[in-house]
Amino acid sequence: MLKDKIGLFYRFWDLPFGNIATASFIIAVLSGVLLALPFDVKNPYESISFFLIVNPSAVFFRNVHYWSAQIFLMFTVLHIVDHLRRKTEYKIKDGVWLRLTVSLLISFYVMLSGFILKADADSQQAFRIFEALLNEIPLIGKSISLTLLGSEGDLQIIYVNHIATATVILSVIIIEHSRIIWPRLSIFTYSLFASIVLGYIFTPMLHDGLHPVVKGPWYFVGLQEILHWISYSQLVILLTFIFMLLFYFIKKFPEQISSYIKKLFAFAGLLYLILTIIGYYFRGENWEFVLPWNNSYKFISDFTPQSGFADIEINDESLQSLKTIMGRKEGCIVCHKMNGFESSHNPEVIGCYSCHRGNAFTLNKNAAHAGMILIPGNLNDAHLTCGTSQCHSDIFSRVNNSIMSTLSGIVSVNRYVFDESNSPTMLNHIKDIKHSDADSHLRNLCASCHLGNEKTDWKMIDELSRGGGCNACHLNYSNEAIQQLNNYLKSPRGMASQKVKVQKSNESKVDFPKIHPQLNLNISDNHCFGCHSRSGRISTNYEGWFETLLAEDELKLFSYARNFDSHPEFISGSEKPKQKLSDISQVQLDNNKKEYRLLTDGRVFQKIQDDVHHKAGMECIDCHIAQEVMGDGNLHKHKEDQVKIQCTDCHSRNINSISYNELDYESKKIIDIRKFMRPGTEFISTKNDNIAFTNSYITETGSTYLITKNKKDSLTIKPPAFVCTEGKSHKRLSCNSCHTQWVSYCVGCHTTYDKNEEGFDLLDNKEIKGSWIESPSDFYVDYPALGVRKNKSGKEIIDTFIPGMIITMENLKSDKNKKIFKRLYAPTFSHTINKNGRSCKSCHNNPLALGYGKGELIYIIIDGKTKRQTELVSASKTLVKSVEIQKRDLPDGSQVRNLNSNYTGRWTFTPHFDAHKEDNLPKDAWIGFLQTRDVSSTTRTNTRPFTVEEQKRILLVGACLTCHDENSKVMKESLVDFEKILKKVSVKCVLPR
Amino acid sequence: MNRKKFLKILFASFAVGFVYLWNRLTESVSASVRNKNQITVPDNFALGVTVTENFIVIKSKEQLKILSSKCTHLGCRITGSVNNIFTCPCHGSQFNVDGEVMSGPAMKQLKMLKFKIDKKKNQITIFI
Repeated sequence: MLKDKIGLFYRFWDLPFGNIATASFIIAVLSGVLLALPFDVKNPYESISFFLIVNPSAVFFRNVHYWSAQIFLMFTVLHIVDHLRRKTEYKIKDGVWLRLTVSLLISFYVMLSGFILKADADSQQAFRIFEALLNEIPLIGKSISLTLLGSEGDLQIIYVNHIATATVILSVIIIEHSRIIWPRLSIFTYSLFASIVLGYIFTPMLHDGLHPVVKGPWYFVGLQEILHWISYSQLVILLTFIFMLLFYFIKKFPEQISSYIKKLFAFAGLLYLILTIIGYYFRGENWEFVLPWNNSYKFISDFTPQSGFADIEINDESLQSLKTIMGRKEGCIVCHKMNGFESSHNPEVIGCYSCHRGNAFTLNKNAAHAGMILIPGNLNDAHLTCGTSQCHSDIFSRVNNSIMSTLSGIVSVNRYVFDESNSPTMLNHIKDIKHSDADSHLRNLCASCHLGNEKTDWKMIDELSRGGGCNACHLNYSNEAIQQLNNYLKSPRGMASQKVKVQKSNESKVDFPKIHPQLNLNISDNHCFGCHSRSGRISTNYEGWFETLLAEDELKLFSYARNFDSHPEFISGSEKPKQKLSDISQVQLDNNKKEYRLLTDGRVFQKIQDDVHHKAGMECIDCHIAQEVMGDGNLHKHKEDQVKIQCTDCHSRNINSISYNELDYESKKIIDIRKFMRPGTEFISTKNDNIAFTNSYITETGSTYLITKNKKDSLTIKPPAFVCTEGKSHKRLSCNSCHTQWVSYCVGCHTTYDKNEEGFDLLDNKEIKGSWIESPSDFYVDYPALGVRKNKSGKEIIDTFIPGMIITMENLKSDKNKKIFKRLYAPTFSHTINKNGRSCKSCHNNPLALGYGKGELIYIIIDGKTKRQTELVSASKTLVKSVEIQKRDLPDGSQVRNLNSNYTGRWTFTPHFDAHKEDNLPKDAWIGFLQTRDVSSTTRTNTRPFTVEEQKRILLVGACLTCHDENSKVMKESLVDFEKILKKVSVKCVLPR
Repeated sequence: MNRKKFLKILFASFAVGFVYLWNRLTESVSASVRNKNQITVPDNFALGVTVTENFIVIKSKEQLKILSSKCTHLGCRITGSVNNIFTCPCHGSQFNVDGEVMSGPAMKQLKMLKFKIDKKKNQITIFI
């Protein structure tokens, strides 16, 4: 007997498909009646989400309803195929056959209306598609659509049709066709059993609209694929009509034609099956073709085993905690009673699911946690968390394009240095880099500092943090939160979660953190520090630290560096809650009064003057506005292209302003969250794009103030000095040309590739064989070099520069015999602004400012009669010395500016560093003395060093400054109109040619 | 005309009459829904692209454009943008920030919505 039963499955076509379909239909109807009890057609999505969590019986009947309906559909199709195969259609009367043909459409309507009635995001889109297709039916399309579907947003009509109209019509047709009311008991039992088993294992889930992929019910995924290729949707109506017509006439055509039609149906069915598989498994976001294992739309998560069966009992208190969140109920809160949230991310408002995903509609632990995102905010999945359409989708798309995500400038310049690109100004993205010399160099040394770098630990943001998407700036732990996290991480369970090997423990109680970290606007300088203390070193510059070549061990050798010993845990890299980095890493060394700071990564910095804004208590975000830091949506080639703010936005006598009512949503939101609103005041706005500094205000009298965002200190904003704005001599100068008090010079870097060295790929976060080894040569601190930058409007302005890459690369990865030497200067905004600005001589008599490098720039005056020379200038030093030098020959080409003078003047330069053997320029130079180079000497296409003419002009003023004090009347007048001063030059003046 | 033919004509006449009344009924119901098709919201959209449930705002320094988020292919709602390209999640039509079709199946560009700005109330009324 058992053999017979097993044999039945071998004889597939002997299975009673029609009976199973009928039985499943009855099961679906009966379970549907019971499902109607917890279902609320006015709040369908919420009511389903509620009973999924709290009502296992309702889940049971829903699952049975769903699966019996699927079985009904599948076996109806098999039943048709079976009979067409056996050519039994001829036995059926024409009228019955016509009604059966119509019933096919009704069956699909019943199925689809059931799909729509769950009212989740996919259902809403299905409703719109179905409505649009029905509207395409000529003359009566709109009437059919309204009659079958009702209006968008109101499911009353479709509900009535689903439970009554269509079901009754279908029942009548089935009974008429099968001539039975009840199927065989055994078939009914097997069908019910199958529905129950499938329902026990797979609960059909709700889709929330947070995921960008929309897929219809499985039987229409193939149609969705077809519609992707069909622009004229009327064709679908026509094709459906033709198929129905062919189906109806199949029994009327001669047998041979019928046979062809059946083959056509078989072929179309097979094609449809293939399309369904492709649509379900191979279609990803934005309709890209993806492999199933790379598909972020997890098919499996739709049918999470046992999700309908709770692990815990729900009590009255839990029921009370189930608030309606974004139109749905979430079960997470029943187990995870956490606090510590800021108001914006309060789970009572946005739930847990919006950020952490998983399955919010179950109290089954495994099912709830399947597909969960433990650390939301990483850019690779931010489109499913922070960046969904219901939250910050506009910001997410901007952040993705921002320079902190693309690192376009770094990638471009690096490739340019390695001769892999003709220009340092290209549009690139760090995630697209390959494994060439340049790209592997980045992967090895630089590629961790981008927002797309995934944060995989729960730690707070510290010096070693890199990337993390939204977390990079917005993640903050309270003292209690970090304490609880650290306690958890020290527990065996916590250590196991960090993949730290621990001995087996019998400890069953696990202290999970109960206080959630916050994602808020309290962005401190520490958030920026990890990445921005490298390369341009903006963070350390701003705080007044410059990097030394001292090693960590050298610093520890100082016996008085006791602070290190008292904080060994910091050096080892773990953190303490709310402990300011600077408090424990700074050491005052008594012997030479130098103050050092050891960073967690082992680099040693020395104290120097900090930025005037830092002195005033300002942090990075007090200037840098959200719309700038997170990008404006456009892709930019270099970071300065993305920057919106400029010094003159605040420090100007002509400030832009904007009122609260004119603000964009984002600025208003920031003001509301920070409570910065001051009735009746205006905000300072950027000259680029008129975006508000939300922490600024302008009083009625015109006074301007800035409130520090975190500390809430009110600071008076001062206008620029007279010297900055008057006169035409310095009108080409940027503010930072004068107000940058120091920059770091890193010169003579030597880089080689060692194929045997153990390395690390910072982009893919994996260990690799072979590594680039970088050896810095010299660091020093001084005034920046000056050069010329063309701004967006094409105007040339004088700006600050530092050595971007003075580098020798040998033993390249691709060719060990290849050697590259590059001497490139880079424009910089060093963030070391001082109030007073630099002295005249620090530019006009300074070889560094002109790009010659460190050294002595001396102005020599030669007496034509006595042939004696006098050195008048010590370049970067402030004192003027006058030393007579005997017995030197007159230089050729020297010329006296004043024709009546017996004296001639000329500049000489003695570099501090030896000439580099590659180009014969001093190691730190940008250009040779009274020589120049083209734009290829910089890391931008819109920058250049001074031309020889420009150098001579600067040195001409420098010559004046050798005798005239910079505060003298004549020099002050020269600021207004230097040409005018030159015309009345005294006979005593000796000017260079 | 025999009885059978008469009954057929009578039935067909009833059917035509039924269809006529049915169309009138549904038109009347649809008209009452159409009257609700305008939305008033605060006029505070950020520069760049903002996608809402019913419309897409593209704001630049120079101008404000509001597009319908309804795909012109089969009416699905566009829910987001990637690199200023709107992809319909249902069938993959792509549109640029001007609403123009970049790739099908859609053939018509996204509907440019009319709007009215009330500067006093700082509100914008969008006619969907």
